[in-house]
Amino acid sequence: MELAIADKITQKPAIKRNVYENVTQQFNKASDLMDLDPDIRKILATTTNEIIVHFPAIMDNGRIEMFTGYRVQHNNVLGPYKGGLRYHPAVDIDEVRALATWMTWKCAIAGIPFGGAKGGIAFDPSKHSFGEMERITRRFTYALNGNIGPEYDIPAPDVNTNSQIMAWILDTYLSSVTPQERNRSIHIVTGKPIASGGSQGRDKATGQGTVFCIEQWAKDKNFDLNNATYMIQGFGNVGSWAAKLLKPFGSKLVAVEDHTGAISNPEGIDPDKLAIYVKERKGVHGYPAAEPVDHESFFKTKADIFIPAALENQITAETAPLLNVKLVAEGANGPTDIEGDGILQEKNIDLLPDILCNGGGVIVSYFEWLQNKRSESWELEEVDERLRKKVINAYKKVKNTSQEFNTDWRTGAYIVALSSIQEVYRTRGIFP
Amino acid sequence: MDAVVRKIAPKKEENKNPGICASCKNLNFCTYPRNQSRPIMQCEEFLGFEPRTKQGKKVVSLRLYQAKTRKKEKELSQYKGLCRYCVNCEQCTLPRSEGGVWICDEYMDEE
Repeated sequence: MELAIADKITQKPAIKRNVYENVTQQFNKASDLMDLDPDIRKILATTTNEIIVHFPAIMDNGRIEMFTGYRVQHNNVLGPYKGGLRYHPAVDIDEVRALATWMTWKCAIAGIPFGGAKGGIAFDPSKHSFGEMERITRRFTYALNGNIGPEYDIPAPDVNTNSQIMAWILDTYLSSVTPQERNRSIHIVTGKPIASGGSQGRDKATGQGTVFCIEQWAKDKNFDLNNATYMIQGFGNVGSWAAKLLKPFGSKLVAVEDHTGAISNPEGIDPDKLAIYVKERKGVHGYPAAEPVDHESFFKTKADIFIPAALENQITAETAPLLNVKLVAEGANGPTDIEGDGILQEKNIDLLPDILCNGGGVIVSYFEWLQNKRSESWELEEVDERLRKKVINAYKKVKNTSQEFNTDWRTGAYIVALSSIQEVYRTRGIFP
Repeated sequence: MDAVVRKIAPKKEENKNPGICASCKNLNFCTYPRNQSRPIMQCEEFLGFEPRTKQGKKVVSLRLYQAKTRKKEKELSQYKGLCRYCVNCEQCTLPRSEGGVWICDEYMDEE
């Protein structure tokens, strides 16, 4: 008998268990609370398609090497499969399976007509030349063949893949369709360079979505963002944009931690100046207009809002008790583990969960897909306005559902996602 | 003022980690506390690959690579015919006709 996806994950050795456990637990908690139809639960606990391809690519020395690529398609009841492609040596079917499932929930909560998928190739890109990367990418695209398509499964950048890789996938895919189909198929990938059909506003989308959520939370709580204090973990794309976008509200950035260390200044740190410094020095370490602090002191900083925008499992049983904030707005994926979540609830700290708060990225990917499909090109203002509507709509749904089920916002977000999928299955039924 | 730098995990240990850290360029400078039993799958500060040539040197950009190739082409353009592709071209003392050499028993390519 086929094992359910959650069983497959938990059967793995300890070292391979990770943040996906949190997601599986959340899925189970939300399913129990909303009394999800057991038949639909069965469907969602398993992926739809798992494609493994072994393909050759010619190296610079003329020799051939074999590579293994994956594409897991979890569920497409809401629309075409959507999810990133990652290149790194540890890619395996379990990791891709977990991340594909996560994408289904993320798209459902964001209210966009996409299902969940993920893929990748197990190899170390740092050991390959530009030319080899191109040949590997093109052969992988060719090997996937009909398993991806603009109306079927749309890849996007992820770990070690970027707009250049997307451009190669686009070109290879277009070469495999008839000339009449080519201009109708450029939405085969998102995350493209703007000149090749990418969207305005994609770079700041995740940070912008996070700030829209915070703005709405402040409105709900009658909380004035002017002179509010906030701290950020992670000053990469999401963290730096969130900081820059909060500045016009008059909010004060009082502490930042990134991979090089942590800094604090109760008088405020200018996000724009810090961004310039980080671009030059590759980290916040040594920023002259702030004091250096250690990891523990960073978590103890008194602030109104904390935006974790770095990596997973940072708010844990060790760090959650240290937090002295009113709101945690999760810009990163899975920054809070199960224990950390419980402590935040005990401390009455409000939480904007990751699948709601960092959905801006996938929403603007949807906008890119939509623009390509309609042969349109939207101005930045239009992208921002549409993003605001989508994010606020998702926020309100999560808020109302959490109140209706008298539960926390993370569980509420999962219930919103599962309800929309359940509704479609109930209406359409199962063939035959 | 310097930020406090925490203990940095050695790279060789991290390579055993099945997460994405092993292929991150920030690995040697990263001070985030990490747990080997919870490999990182997603990180907003992940810094990706730098493509390498077959000699192991970094490829700075495609444009630079093309510029270098064009320079080499220009240098070789003074030779015509087989000489252009012959490894002995620069040392060769045999007489060359103006229209280029098209048949030569001494011709030798890179292979």
